[in-house]
Amino acid sequence: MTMENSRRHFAKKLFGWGSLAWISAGNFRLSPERVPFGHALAQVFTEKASADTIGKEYLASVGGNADAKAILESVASALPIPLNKDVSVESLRVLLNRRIREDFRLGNTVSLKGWVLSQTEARACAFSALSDDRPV
Amino acid sequence: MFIDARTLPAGHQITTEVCVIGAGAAGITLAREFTGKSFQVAMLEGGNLDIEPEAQTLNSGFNVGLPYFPLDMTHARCFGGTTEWWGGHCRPLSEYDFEAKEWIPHSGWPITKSEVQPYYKRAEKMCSLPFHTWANSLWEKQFGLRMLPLDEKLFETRVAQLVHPAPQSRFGTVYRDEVRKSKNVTTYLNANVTNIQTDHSGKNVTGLQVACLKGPQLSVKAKVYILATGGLENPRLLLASNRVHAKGVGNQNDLVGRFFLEHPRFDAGMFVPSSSRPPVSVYGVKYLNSETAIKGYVGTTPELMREKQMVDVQLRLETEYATNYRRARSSRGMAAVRRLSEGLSNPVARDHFGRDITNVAADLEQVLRFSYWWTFERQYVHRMSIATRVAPAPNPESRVSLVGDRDALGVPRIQLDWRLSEIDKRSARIAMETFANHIGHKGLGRVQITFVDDGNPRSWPTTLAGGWHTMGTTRMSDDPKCGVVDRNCQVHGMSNLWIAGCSVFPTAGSGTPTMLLIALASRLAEHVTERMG
Repeated sequence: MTMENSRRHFAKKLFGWGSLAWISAGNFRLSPERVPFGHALAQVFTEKASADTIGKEYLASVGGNADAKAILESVASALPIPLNKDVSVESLRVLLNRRIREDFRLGNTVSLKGWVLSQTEARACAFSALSDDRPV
Repeated sequence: MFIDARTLPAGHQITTEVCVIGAGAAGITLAREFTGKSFQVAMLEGGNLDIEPEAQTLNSGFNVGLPYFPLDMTHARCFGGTTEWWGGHCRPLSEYDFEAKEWIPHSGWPITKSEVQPYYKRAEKMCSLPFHTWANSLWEKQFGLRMLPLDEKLFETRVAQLVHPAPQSRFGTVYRDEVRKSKNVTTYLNANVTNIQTDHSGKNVTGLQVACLKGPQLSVKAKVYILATGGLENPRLLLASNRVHAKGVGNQNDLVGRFFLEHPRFDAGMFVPSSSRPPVSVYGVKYLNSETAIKGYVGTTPELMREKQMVDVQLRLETEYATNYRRARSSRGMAAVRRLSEGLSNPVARDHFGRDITNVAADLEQVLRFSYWWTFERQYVHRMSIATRVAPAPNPESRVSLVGDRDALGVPRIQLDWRLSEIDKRSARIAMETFANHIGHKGLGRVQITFVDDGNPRSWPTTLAGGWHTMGTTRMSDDPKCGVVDRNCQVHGMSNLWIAGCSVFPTAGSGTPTMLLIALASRLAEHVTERMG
């Protein structure tokens, strides 16, 4: 795959993943059921395939050695909820989106094939890529 | 009155009071301003009324720096000058553009925006701009165009007005009759100045040598001389006029030809909005009606430039549509549809009714594809390309100089060594990174940055190009050691030689150059008129 094709492929994936912002704006109604943090994070993306593509890029950029537990902890540490507490997917989306915007404000970003992404969103995608859970 | 200099007898001397060399945007502005005054003016144009290939070859030269346009294509040698292929973009420089910045060497003008402002108003009129305001609220309130909600400490939306449609932007056409009818301005066509002659002190211009392609050699005597042949030809003529001063006229401090400026632009990334209907309708070229067009950009603010110690950067956002729709838009069938549509009011187009109907039928697939896009998809924006335009730092190594090769009239040709600086590249990167972070912070989408800042000002993306803006080569400064002309555009050390045009710009600025060169030419005309008593 040429660099250009690869970029297009990545961009195409990113378009789908861009739905995260819409969801947090309340366009979708999701189950308020509380689940363990890891389960909620694995289900947070409606376009899991896109998130996984980004996640794999992120994992490759950090050497590919990160394990799911470490990434889960790093995502949780950026959010105002403890890792061992149950959370609804909907409220996690709101918190994540807030954190992502804050990351951009603070410049806590990563560059994946030129795409400027928040550290937290890249890690959340990486967790999705390492997770077998399917979205609701 | 127009006179073809080729019809004059060999050795003829044109005697006048004010001589304007060049009949482009600056020259025509001067001619219009001088019309009706009590002194006689001769305007010398090297080309004819229209562009002719043989005259264009006199502009040929060599590019030895960053990739640039062929030099015979950068400016038009004809009445109207480079307005003959001007894109018509108009936007004034900001007050901040005129200020010196301590982190940008050689920045700052000796004059302020407020000193130029009255002449900008004249330039707006000369360019026939439909609106005489630059406030963004006009586009939002009157035309409903939407802009990104940018943090005013970081970015601003800038809107340029386009002189549209041609031939409004072709000054050689628009002002031909007016200049022809002027009683005190005589325009000599095909009259190429080959040498500026000075007395032994080198401080007073005593005359001009003029040559015609396949025609006679002439001379000009005047009291006042104004050089207005563009950012490449102005330094060329000064450097080539080296009989008294070996370095050329006005070049006692080795500044003529240095500080060549352009507005470099290159593809820098992509913006993917999080909404398919983002507030971006002002960006890119927008036709408000059949006679009015504008183009919106995102630009860096003075606050950001101060904080990051950078130069001005513009981000040009263009909506990208799928290739198949672009193909459909330019298809034979759609061309026929457009002609049929025009035929409702245009009898000529109606003459081809039968052929156009046939073309629509034969190309129905493309017509339907475009119709679908126009009806259902047009309002959606899936992605926008980002190109940057940088207002580069003045660089003395970026320069025009003479080479041994000569043109058909014996004038040495030039070589252009276009260079940029590390700060220019760094600024483009900072602008893109800040924009990417800002867009993410506002939840507006994501940005991809496709250009790499390796810190090397000699390597740029392959899409690097100029904006056809040749500036800075006879820069303005109150200090003769820092500039070729003073605040009134008079050549330092010369009693009767002035320069008009972009070559006097000491910085490139955030706006577009044509209106400013017209404004400065108007200001210069006033100054010279006072001087003439």
